[in-house]
Amino acid sequence: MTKLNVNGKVHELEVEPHQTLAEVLRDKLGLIGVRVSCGEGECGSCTVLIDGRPATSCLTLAMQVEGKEITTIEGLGDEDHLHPVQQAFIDEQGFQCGFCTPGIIMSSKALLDGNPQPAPEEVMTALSGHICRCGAYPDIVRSVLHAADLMGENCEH
Amino acid sequence: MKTFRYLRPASVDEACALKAAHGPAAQFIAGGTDLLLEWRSGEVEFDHCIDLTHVPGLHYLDAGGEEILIGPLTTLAELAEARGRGPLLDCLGRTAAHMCTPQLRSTATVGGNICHASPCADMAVLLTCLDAVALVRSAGGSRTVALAEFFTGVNETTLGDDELLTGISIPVPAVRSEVAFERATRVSVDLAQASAAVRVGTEDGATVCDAKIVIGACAPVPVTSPAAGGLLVGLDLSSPDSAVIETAAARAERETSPISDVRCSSDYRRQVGKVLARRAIEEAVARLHAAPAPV
Repeated sequence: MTKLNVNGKVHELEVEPHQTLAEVLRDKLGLIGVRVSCGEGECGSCTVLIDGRPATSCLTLAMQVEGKEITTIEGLGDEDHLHPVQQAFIDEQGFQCGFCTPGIIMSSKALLDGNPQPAPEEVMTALSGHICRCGAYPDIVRSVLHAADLMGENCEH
Repeated sequence: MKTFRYLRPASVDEACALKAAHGPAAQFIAGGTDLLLEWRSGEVEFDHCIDLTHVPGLHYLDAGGEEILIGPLTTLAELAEARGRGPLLDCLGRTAAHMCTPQLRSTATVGGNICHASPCADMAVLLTCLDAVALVRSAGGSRTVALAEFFTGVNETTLGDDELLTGISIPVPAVRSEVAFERATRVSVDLAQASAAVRVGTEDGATVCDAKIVIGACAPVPVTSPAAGGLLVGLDLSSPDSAVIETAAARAERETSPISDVRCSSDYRRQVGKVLARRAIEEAVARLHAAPAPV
């Protein structure tokens, strides 16, 4: 049995050695906010946080990350309590089809945790591992900058 | 269903023992960003997967003393963040920051880059230029291998079936030095079509006294050209002779043997390898000229 700490909860799961973290999160825990698109580590849609760092879950073996803290989009917030980054993407319409969005939100959250007031270029660099087929890039950058403002406001209260 | 056995050693000794027991039927895994792709495509086959990421003593970055010591599990992200710690680490950091993607850099390791030994491997090229030495362990003991001799072919190193890379040691140069790395790619997230790493040093603060030029992705292994490096000795730092730099770059390129592949043609590599070498020389010399002299 493999113990995985996902979104603050420890799960004991039957996992095959070759299974990726993405597969296990989706198929065994129902966390379908973790997307698998290219499956080769190039598009970023499978991005989750491992110990707070954005990581490519389609190229990580689930068994390797026992003992680490894994966060998916579902762990950021829900419909009743959206995380400021999620709220910002809604406010600024930072997506069209939304398929790449969860991964981008995870990378954005990691960026803002370490750099609360990033310049637009820093946002683009931090998100350079994400492909958005709909081309919503300018809206994405605007959403992250708006998230930075929202999170700044949160700190003041 | 294609699968393998997952093994999680708790020490370097145990990792070496497991590798010795299974030989080529076992593969070490760290970030897995190359290994898993190759396993899925069938390029690589193994029955046992030895996870190094829980082994203590392999994950370190130590720049305090006479040498820089990099543990094989140091991630590209950690290297990218290690700035402001001297010219060598700064260049390693700048180079790591431009490799793959931020997500992949969180788990991809320096050790993996070197041991996978792709001809395009950026860390391999740069570390060769820095005269790095590989620290290797096996059940039987330990040895060191200069990186210049470590790479033996495409995805081939001198590591034996029972050996584990446990560290990379970079000597601090005897003279004040600066390093530059250049690469050419089709798109921003891509393996290098060609790359060049250059190190220059000065004793008198006015001229180059020591230089090393390495070209990558233009041969099965990184190619060092001592003759080309020699041409830069005596180069004036404040107004470097561009004809000398051009000649040195061309000389370095002549020692490569590029092929045509999916990323570009051999002709392109010949032309661009020369340009990258020139740019890396110019950048390294400019950095050396601008760097403050030691007090």
